[in-house]
Amino acid sequence: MSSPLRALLDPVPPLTADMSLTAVTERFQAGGFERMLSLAIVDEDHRPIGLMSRHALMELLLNKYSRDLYGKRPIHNFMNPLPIIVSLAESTTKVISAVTSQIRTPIIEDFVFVEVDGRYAGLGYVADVLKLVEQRLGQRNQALAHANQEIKASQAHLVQSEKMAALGQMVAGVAHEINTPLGYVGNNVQMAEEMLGQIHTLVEAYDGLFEGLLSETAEPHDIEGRIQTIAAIRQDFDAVSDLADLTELFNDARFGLKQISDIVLSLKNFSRVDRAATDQVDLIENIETALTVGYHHLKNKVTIEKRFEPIPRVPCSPSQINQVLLNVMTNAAQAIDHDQGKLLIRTYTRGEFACISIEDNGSGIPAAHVAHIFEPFYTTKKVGEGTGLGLSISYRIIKDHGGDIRLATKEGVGTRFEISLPITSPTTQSTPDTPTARMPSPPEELLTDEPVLARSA
Amino acid sequence: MIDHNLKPTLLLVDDETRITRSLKMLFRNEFNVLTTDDGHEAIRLVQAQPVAVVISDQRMPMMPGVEVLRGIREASPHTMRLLLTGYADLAAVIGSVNEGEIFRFLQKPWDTEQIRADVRAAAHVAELNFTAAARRAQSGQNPVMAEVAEVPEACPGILLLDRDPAAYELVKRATPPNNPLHWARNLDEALELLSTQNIGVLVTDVQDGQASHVGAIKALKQSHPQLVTIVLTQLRDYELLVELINQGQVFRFHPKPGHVGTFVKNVQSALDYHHVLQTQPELQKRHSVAQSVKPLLTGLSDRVMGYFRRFGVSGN
Repeated sequence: MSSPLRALLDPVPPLTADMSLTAVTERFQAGGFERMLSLAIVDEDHRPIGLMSRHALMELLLNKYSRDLYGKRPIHNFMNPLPIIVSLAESTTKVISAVTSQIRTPIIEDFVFVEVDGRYAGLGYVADVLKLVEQRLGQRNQALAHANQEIKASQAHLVQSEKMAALGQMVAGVAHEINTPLGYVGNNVQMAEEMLGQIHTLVEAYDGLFEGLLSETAEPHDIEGRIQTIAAIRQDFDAVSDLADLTELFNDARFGLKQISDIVLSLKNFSRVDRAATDQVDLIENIETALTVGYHHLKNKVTIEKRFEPIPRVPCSPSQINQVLLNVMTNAAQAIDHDQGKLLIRTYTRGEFACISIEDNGSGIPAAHVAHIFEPFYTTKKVGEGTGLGLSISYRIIKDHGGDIRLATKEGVGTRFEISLPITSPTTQSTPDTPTARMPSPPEELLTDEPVLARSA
Repeated sequence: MIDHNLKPTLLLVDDETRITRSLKMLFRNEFNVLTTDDGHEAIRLVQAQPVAVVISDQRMPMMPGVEVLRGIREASPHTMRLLLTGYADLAAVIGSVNEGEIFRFLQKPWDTEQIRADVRAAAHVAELNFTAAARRAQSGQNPVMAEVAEVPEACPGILLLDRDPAAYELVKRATPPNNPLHWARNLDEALELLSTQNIGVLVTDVQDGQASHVGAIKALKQSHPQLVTIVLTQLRDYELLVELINQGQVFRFHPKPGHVGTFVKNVQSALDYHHVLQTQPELQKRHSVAQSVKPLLTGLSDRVMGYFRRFGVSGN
């Protein structure tokens, strides 16, 4: 049996049903149970059948002659026949809810405790129950605070996992982008080296012939031999055309090296480790960087159209904005399930905001998903493909910049994301928002601005 | 000048023309080199003429490499298939084995000498395949699959090398009623069974607790070229898988626990393939495995070493 209940129990001796009102009055006057508001009445089997409160007794006795009129009548005529009865076998939680739900104001009575078999055990003081409730609430608050802390910690952990997952995906793509030029650059250098060996042999042979021709002692058959050596080498190696090929090998190698250094440079720009966290940033430059880094996701699927109107520099953290841009672009590419993929990227100014619009002609987002799209962990991707944090982090980043990210979408037509950032530093850093404020404006609003790209034939 | 028709044909499929240009220059003296950036075109090319070897990239806009190689395998089964990729996810590696039945898995950037050796080896096998097919065609047989004219021999056994009872249950379900199933809990038992029983298909995990079976899988492919290996494992290790393709010529890779229906099909294909290998010994060359740089058999018992020495597999 739970000990907190036992602590509430006061085993006050009960009254019997046939005790007279006078006898009961004397019991109340004799005292010994001052904490209690009432006394229980039990039947022959010691089961509680009612409760007589001090309050009810006083009211009776205040009437003139009531002691003379009713004094001899048994107490069961005057008792409350429906007291609150709880079993000691119940859980504390159940007892609390039974007492607090049945309690009547003003509180003039106690409640009755019964044993497992239903026999009277004692009385309980309602105020004690209220104290217990308060105590429990305190404990629960503590537990909640603890749980909240844990959730915050694991959320931080998940955000980190999402970052690592995105990073892993990016590294994989970048590895592919770098390995391809490395493949042909390495091969070309190796072939050039081999060809150089052949050229060396040929030049040596020519040198030999030249010296033979200059020498006054050389015999004609000696010269003849040297010519034949050259002829033999020329059979396998056509120096003139092979040297032309060599030029091409080097052109390609140079191109490959340029490509590798471009990728490395954009990776450096992407992380912007060498830049201040908040800077006056050219967003168009950021778009180009994100495009280079995300190229592997995009190049095989989509043609990219850029319509950049000049926009002023905006104060922001370039690496965070890059993260958002790459996330939105990657999502756009993933939404395209056909091979006429298009991505339209635009920049423009609207009022005090610099805007970037990224529009795809992919599958669109079903209306049921749109409301949840910026919620953490909301994902329609398969397990392991996405944590569902990407857009919620993007949302957070843009809100922290005092900006906004909204979308318009039509199933089967495409989706358009619009990111707007304040041109002048926002006075309040983070725009406060409630979960309902997280909902982007309805798609139609943006759709009427400019229609989403139609899928071209 | 050398007659172009005498040189075997090598087909390069990559969307980066600098890759095809570079490789074309590397191979043009030994091969008649064709290039394309389109998988559909590649399949048309192998249908139009005998192509000995094809090297395909994995990530391409029109068609991923695994699909290109599967199409080529269907259109021209004797063409040796190599996948060359800068980065492939695990699914692509598994697909290249299970669907493309590739000869080698090559990674960018590649080693020039290694790719030369691999392509030469592939061309050699392709030549044997094409010659044998032509011979069969002349004698009126099906040029792809040899007729089963011989007396049907005893059904080859399936050997499972895995402690896991769940694996045994899976293999038991996939084993046809006439093929005996042998269960070895460790490598010693497996070798014992291999030397006493007629085994056609080996189903094995790549590791047993701390002990790795990778060396043994590779060594067994050298000593028993007609043995067809299915790797059944929950290990998802890209590098290990590539090693098993190139040096162990694994026939199928089946993830644990995986789909039962697929596994049944895999075992049947493996048995069929074992039969083809027995009737067309020249095909066994296809399984000429790349020489391992590392000694194959380190940390094995003397008994196991002795077993492999009898088959002429050197331990170092």
